[in-house]
Amino acid sequence: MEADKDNANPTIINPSDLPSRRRSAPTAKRPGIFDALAPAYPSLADPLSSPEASSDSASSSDEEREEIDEQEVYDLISTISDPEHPLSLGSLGVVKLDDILILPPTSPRSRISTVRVLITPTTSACSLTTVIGLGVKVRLVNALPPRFRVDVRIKEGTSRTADEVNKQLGDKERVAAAMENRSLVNVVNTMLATCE
Amino acid sequence: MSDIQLYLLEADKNAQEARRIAAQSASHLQNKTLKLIDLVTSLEPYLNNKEDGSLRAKSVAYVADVLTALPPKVLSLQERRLLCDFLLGRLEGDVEGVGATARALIALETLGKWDSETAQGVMRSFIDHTNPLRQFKLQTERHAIIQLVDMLLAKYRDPIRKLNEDQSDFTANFILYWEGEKDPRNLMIIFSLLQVPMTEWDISSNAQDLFDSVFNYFPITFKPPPDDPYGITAQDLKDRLRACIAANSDFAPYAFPQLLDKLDSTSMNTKRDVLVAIQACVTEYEAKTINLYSVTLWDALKFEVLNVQEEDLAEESLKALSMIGGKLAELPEGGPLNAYLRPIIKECNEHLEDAPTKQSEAAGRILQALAISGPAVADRIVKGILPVLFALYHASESITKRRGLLEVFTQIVGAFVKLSQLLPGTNITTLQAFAKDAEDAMIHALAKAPKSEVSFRLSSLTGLSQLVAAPGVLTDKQVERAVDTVTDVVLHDSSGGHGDIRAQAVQALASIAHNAPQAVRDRTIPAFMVMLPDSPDEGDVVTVTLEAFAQLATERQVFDTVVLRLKNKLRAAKHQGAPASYLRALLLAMLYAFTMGSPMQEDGVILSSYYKDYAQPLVNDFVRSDTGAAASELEIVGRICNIILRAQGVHMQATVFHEDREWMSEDMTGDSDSNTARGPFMLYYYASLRPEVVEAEQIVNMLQSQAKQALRDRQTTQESVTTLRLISLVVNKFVSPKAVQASLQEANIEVERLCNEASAAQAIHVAFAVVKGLLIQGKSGSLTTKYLNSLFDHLTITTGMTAAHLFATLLAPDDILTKANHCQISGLYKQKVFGQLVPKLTAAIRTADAGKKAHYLVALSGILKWQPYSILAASLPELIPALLQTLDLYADQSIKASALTVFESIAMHDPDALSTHAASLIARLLKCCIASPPRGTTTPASSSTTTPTNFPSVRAKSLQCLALLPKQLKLEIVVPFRRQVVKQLMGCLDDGKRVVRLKAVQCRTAWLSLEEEGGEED
Repeated sequence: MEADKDNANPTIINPSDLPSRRRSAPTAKRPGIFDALAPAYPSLADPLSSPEASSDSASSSDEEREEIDEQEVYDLISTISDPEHPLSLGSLGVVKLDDILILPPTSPRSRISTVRVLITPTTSACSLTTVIGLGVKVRLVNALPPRFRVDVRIKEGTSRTADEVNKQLGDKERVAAAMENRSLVNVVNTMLATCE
Repeated sequence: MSDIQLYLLEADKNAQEARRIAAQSASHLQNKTLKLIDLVTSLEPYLNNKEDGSLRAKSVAYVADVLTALPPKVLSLQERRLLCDFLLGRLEGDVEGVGATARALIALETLGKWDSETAQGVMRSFIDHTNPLRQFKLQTERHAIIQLVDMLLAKYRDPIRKLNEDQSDFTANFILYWEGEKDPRNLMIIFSLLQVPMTEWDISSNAQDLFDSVFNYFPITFKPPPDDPYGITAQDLKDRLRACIAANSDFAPYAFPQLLDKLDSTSMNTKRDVLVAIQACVTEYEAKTINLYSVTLWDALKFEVLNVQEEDLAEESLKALSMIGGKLAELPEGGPLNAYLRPIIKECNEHLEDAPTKQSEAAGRILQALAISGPAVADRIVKGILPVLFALYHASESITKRRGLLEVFTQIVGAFVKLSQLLPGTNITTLQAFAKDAEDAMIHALAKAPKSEVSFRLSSLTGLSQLVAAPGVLTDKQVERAVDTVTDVVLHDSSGGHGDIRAQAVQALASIAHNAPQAVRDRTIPAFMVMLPDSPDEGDVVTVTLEAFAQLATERQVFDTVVLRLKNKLRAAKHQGAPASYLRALLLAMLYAFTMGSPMQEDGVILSSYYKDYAQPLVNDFVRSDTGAAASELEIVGRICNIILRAQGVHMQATVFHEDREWMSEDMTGDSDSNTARGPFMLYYYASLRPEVVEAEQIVNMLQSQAKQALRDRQTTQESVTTLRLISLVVNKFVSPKAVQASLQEANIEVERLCNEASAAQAIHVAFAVVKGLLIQGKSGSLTTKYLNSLFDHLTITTGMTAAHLFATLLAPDDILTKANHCQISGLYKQKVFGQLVPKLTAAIRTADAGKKAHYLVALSGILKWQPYSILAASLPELIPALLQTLDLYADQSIKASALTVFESIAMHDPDALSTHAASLIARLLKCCIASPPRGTTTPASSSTTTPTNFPSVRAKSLQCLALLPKQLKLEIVVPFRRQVVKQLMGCLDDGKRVVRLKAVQCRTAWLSLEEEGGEED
């Protein structure tokens, strides 16, 4: 296994350079360190006015909807493991935040949005590109609500087999057939095992 | 029959009896009723029996047993010598009973010391006539011989060593003698006795044979049998074998090639043994021997670090490399060390060229490990690596490359930091030469690099704080520049979002403060002061600065300066009429400093002078003078007093309290409004006092006035919370357990009476506060039991819902009622509540009508919420049905959340208990994880009219709980639900809240994976 890796020594992105929602949140919204000084346990008179008051105050903002955005899609797929290295697709730069695009419904009557993910293989000759694409596709189909159409492609100019792979990933029948293949399913499951 | 005949009869059947017979013969010899010559003669027919070898062996065993039982001084020197010659003479022609012979000789030696010739004779006879040892099949026989040789080597070192010098064939035969031994019990002794020739004899001509004779056993793969009575472990054998391998420098030509050969093994355990053995060799062999193999060792060991297979192997290899460096540095001439380091430095420099890669990271680890081994090594590494490193740095524009190089540099500096801790006064002049270059680079990175280069800037930050930590590397001016840069990042890096490294910068600043406190005091603290106005217009930015400033107090060296500046700033702000939010933030910063920081201590207790210097002025400014300070400010002042005062002794507390009593007592007795207003301060102030400081009379007064307030109905929520907590505190800490009921009656808050005044909500609150104090105290058992029953009975009335909710407060953690606040904390109060109330509640739930049932369910979940799981575990069959009904209470979110937490614990610890309820549990969890349940399912149990929606926390929790089931429950139970769950979770994937969606994905993945497992079953 060691010797026949397509790319034995890939570039690894430092974890602190990966995009994350926590780090990009504005400072003002984060709880300050002083807030932790006084723990918020229910105290004797808390349920005084009404029973509901005792539950978490965060629920008051229940009405605000947090839409599914690119960062969320990134978080879903960046933790998938590479089939060759014990590293995540995010740290290998196979999936990048900039290469994820959420397209709104094409017509006002349609509810279907599209998530487009472009994959950058670690080398242009990486033979496992199809498997990686399949893993990303399976993950998103399972994790996104049905109103999203999942479109996984190879980023232009990064793989010699891009057209072939795109055709395979775009074809529902072929994807379904691939997921009937037990050994392929096992590979994909191992890749997805590291997802939260 | 003679003794020998009796002995022979018993020998095979009953060893103990045989030994007794031999002992009897021995006592005959001792009291002279038997002569030695007669005893030997009586043996004759058996000892010379030509047909039966075992008979001969048993006869010798008889001799051995007799000799063992014999006390000293019975046999004359001549007799002993005769016996010895006789036994050895037998060996030449007959080796039957060789083990017994060895035992007999050991016994003879105990009876009287041998001379050199005898010792040599014994040794030679065995080596010549019983070689090799493995011809004897019985482990016990071999064991006896090994013990004899071990004894000879231990007690007759010189005579035996002479054998090696005088008789050319002896040593070779001696080595051959042990060949083929396999029993671990024997090997333990052999490995140990062989160390004598290995370390003390001149073995130059036999070194290889001697080495091979032990190395044949490497690696040890012994697995002790279960219930091994001897208790020998593989590790014991490994340790002794390793000591043999490392015993003599002459082994090096055989040891290193063979060890390195075994380092290529595919077994990780073998590699581990090899690395530890190499370390032992490096420690034990002479430095000039190590010199011959240093480069060979480097060439092999480096692969374990460059291509890490297992982290511990890499660490052991680094340790070995470091030890070689340390060993070679012992030599007076520098040549060997240079010869060792030259290829290392060359290779590491090559790896640096393509930094950052796995290899360049490994190079950093190697260089750090080596540099730690000694100043001489560190010096050469700095001279060999750093010029190249900085040339590469300046030649490259790539930020990632520069980061990789800086990280290696920081690792080398880290080695210097450790070195100067181990050997204070380590010469650092070589590193100084590069300090400016390095500091410039890192300061540039922090100040000028794009904010999005997070890892680059973080590496520079670590680098700077390491540089400051290496004593004497930076000049004072350079330290100030470093401090200024980091301070600047903390104060002015206001980008927010991705690339905000202020949190790390604050930490770096605190660690710099440890190593360079003066620079931080001179530069950082004034810079912070400039950024903190006396009266700000805009609050937000200031809070961030204040938070950072307060965190500096975690370093003891600057703690005093930080709190002093905060105090002055607070005074100025108050004087300038700054907004309340700013005052509060300053107070919080001070509280943070005292709570999380490192104030000076004396005998482990915070210095009492802080009270006079900091707490007292705050009390004067905020509490005493009628400035109308807000409740939240008073609370923080109270907390600051609490944290300083509570650990002080009775004397100090009494002095403080005595001074404060006067102005406080006006409040306590009077019914003034300032009384209520000062509540938050009082709560924390009284919490800090030791019970003996306050007099009983004052307590009753205080209880009365607090009770009066609590029972009034014009209090705000905040006020009543404070009053109730104060009541709990007083009941728990100050009221004497003997006079509880009397004191309560005097204060008009006797619980049974309060419960009867059912109409007033305040009364029931006070009742719970009193019971909480008593319950946690645990000293008035029967009274508490009675009161708990009253509270339970209160659930039956129609307005019992208030009481039901209050049950959650009984056991809730409380930062007032703690041991640190000198409260009485019983270890068993949670068990008490559980044991007394839960059986009643579960029984009541089974029979009650819907309205009352809700009360019981709410009370039950309040009690279970804070129980440790171990207490619940015994009552699961009764609890689960009740908890399932709790999930139907649509209106009540916190109740549901706590029930879900309990289900989560059950699923983790006792999943089988859920098996029979799987269908109802899954159905309810699925209802709980959607935002609004389908219309028409609202249960009548809830009297509330709020819209039945599940809060995000409940949705997330129920998904989390649901996700556990496929993993924890048996497959045949969950598989039937898979389709339904997976389908319904599709909706949760589109939940409005991100956290819920995340949990939904996890949950759905867990259920989806079920199919594959199930599929394999088919």
